[in-house]
Amino acid sequence: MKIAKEKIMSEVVGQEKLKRKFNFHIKPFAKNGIFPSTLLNASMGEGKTMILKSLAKELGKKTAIINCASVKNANVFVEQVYQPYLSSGEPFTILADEFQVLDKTTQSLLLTMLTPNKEMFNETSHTINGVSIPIRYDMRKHTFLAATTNIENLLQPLVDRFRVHAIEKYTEEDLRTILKKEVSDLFITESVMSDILRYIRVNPRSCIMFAQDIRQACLGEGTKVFNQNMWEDFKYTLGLRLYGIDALEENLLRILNDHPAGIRLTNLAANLRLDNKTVQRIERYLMYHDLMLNLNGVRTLTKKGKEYFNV
Amino acid sequence: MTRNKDGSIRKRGSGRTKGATSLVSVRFGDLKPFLGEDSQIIVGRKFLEAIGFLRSEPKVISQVEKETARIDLSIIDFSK
Repeated sequence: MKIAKEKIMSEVVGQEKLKRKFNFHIKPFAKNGIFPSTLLNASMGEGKTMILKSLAKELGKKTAIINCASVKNANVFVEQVYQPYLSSGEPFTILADEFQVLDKTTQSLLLTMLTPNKEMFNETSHTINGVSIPIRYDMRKHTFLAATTNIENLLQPLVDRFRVHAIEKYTEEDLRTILKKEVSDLFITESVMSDILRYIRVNPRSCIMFAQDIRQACLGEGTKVFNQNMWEDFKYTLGLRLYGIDALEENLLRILNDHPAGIRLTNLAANLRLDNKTVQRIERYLMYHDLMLNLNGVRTLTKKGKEYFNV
Repeated sequence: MTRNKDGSIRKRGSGRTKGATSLVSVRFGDLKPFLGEDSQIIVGRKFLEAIGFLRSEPKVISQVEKETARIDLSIIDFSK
């Protein structure tokens, strides 16, 4: 039976399954203050930080947003995060961004701090310059949210301390909603809007950046209407390609087009004058769009990939 | 057969012979007849620290190091 529940995180477009899961924990959170440590795993530009910020807003606590790349070791974490925010009586949400680059000593400390148990708090100590600092992390008071692009870089036991969630694939409708939201002050016809969506990379960040460029174009022309002519001019000026692919990705497709029998990775990398790893990274987006195929190491264009050059 | 840390066989005769030490304990009064006021003598840094002549200074962290150790952190108050 489908149970109607109030909407949460209204600023997040799509992601209904994820919101439902978060809502499941928000209900008891209102009574006992416990929201489980949550790790969001998705690729770049998918809106991880934005989603977690929106979740933190629902939790209604002061929130410390940390860029984990700047946490050099456990000492600075204790001195600049634990002592000022988590050791005081005030409830806090910690939002750890780029969690995959957090140094190993801090990961080890978090292993102890975030261990789930019946009591919902953990005690340990950390020594800085010979001085032992008692650490007490109360899960009834504090919430730990983290975003990562590469879960493999984290200590597995630490990952086990979190509820790990992935981000659902954004639909064309989701992207249309995001784009419309970003250019709500401009008038864009439905046909132009549909064409725009063919030229955007499928993630919210690209939509937002694209919207910024459209706004700039309108500002330059002194208009609030982004019409077909402006769109054609916009495409030409910025050198936009279908599916939002970039010059390097197009070069790769071109090489595949020149090798109808297929080409292997090293040969492809040599043609592009890039290393194998970079080529593999570039390929991912093209495979996502079903423009190319990797069959037993031999790369070829798909039917859709061949059509790309006919458009 | 003794082996080195990397697993290779240790060469014969290498290392310090048991009981052989570089430093010996001697009464200052016994040394005095050999030394004048301005005589230069070589002593260990640890010895000078032990008698309180030298104090081991804590490592001074430069301003640049302090800056780089600063966590990139921002606070948003959602409680209001």
